[in-house]
Amino acid sequence: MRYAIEIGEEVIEVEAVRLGPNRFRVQIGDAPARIIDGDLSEGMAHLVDGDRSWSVRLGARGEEVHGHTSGRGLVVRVQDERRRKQRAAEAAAASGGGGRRSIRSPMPGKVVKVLVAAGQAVVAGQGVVIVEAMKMENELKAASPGTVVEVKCAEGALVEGNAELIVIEG
Amino acid sequence: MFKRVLVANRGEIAVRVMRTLRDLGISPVAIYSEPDRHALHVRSADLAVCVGPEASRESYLRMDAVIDAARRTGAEAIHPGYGFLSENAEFARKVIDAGLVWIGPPPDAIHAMGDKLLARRTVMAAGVPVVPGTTEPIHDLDEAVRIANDIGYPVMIKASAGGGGKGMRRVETEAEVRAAVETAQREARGAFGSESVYLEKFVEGPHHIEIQVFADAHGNCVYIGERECSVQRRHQKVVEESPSPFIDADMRRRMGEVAVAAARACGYVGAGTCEFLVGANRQFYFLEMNTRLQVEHPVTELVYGLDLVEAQVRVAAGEPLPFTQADLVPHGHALECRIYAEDPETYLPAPGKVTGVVWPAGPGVRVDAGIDAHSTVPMAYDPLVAKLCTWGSDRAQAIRRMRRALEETVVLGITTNTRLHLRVLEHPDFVAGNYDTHLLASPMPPVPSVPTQTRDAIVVATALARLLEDEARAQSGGGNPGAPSGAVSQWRSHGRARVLRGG
Repeated sequence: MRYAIEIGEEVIEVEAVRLGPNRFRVQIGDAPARIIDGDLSEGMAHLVDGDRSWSVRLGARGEEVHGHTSGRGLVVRVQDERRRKQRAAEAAAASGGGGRRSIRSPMPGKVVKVLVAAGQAVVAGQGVVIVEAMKMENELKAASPGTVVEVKCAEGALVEGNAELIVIEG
Repeated sequence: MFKRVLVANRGEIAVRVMRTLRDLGISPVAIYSEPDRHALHVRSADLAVCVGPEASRESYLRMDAVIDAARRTGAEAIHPGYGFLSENAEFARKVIDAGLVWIGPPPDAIHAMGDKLLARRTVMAAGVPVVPGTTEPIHDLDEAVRIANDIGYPVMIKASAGGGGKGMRRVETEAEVRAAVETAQREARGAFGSESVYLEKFVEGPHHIEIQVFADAHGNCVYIGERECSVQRRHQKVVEESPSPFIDADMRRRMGEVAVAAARACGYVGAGTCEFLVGANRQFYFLEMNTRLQVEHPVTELVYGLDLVEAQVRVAAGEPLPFTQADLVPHGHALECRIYAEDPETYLPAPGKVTGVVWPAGPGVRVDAGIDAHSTVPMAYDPLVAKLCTWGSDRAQAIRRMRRALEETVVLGITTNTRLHLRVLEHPDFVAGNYDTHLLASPMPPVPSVPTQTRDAIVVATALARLLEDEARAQSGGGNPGAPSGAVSQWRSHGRARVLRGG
């Protein structure tokens, strides 16, 4: 199977093929393919790549996967090729529609106040919604001028991290 | 000794207190708010009582509900932990009036030390040095200007009922005094319901050093060394250590004796902490007394080989202190890193569903955690999820062990500040033991990028986990390719549901 693994803006293509019960051939991008002995159980992957031993912990984080090894953690998004093409097509359609941009919640929290309504014009830097988590209020601002086309949250609502709250077009 | 004790708290401190209760053969009772029903501190207890909904003022802060919970479960005593009701003299009095034992200082001592100005007057009468300033609330702006001119700039304006940096302002010149006093009064009224503020000299190059004291009901009172708490961000402690690299044995003794005098001045019983401001010139001044167990108490326990919670329980049960001043000899060095559910760069809180945890272990490591792999960090409470402590035979070893412990630490599903700690531990001024409260305001070493090999290992592990999910789905007869099936996906959907419920 081929997968596209997104880390932030970066997309890494990986091809993984099973060779045996715990053996896989893995190719990252254009690098030479490696034969990896992988022991996977819930939340844990032990990879033996030649003499190198990697103990990787894996856990869900919303829609994404939180991986951790050697003292470093990364949040990645995995897509198979079919989903990736679908998303690319959606993105192309959206950009054709004149620059729709979403204001998203930076963390799980509670919507304390919605400062704009659909149809309202906003300027760059204008506060549009306030989200509270752990006693801290965070005002989310419009990055550039436009018109609010949709308010996707209500005051008092609990929202997930990265939830779409306000859609602005312009 | 007690048979059953209620812990009126949540998170890591409730779990930590319950562990000592178990050591003593005492059955722990938990209280919890609705979203905390399955929290680690509830799972650590034998009995657990719901005291209300998520908001602290409707649950953990409800005195009647907490006392009822103790009565209902047959608990003989209440341990308040820190925060919540721990420094509430009225609550302590109600616990005692209900015929229960209060594992804390007498209500009068809590009251005397609860107001910063009253505490200042109380300890000054006992000859304890305080930062030069006013002993009465500021009523008159002209008077404030006159006093500030006498003391010399810069000065600090502080809220009498203050804490956590609220209602605190630094003033550089005479022209700023009036506006600063008015602002501080307004902030203090909003945060503490009292606009009483006072004025004191600003101490240059300050260290925040505190002395642990312990008194029993039989007239014994000792000091148990110091904790250096100068690694702070916005007046919140981040890393603590004991001993302080800034003071020597003679200064420890002098500060300890002053702390004991302050404790005696208010008729103290139990564990308490005197906070001092120490200037670059090593002059020390009493700041305030915390009339409870301190978050960072484990570093003292490691260096002195004690269990302070056990001593609290014994003293509350009427026993004499289990140690004398002569017994208290520091050994080695200890560090504590506070693990917060927050982004190490932006400091934004990061509550959510925890989907995996590996705590460090091995030589010289202690973990006091309030979460495990089955926890959700709610957004309503303090973001402290665990305290990592290391002990070493010297400071350098304690630091090396802490670096290793932080590298071993894995918390998946939420963001924690372990990276911030690693940067502090690499900061040349911290390594040299030459820092004051400005350390975190100074430029920090850059975050090294994730090495390609490490990144690739995570990429391969993620791809293989997904491959196994896809294979399992194909075997079970297809289905929606986007639908969750494997282990990771199941946690994912479960985690989302819990976060959305606010649990």
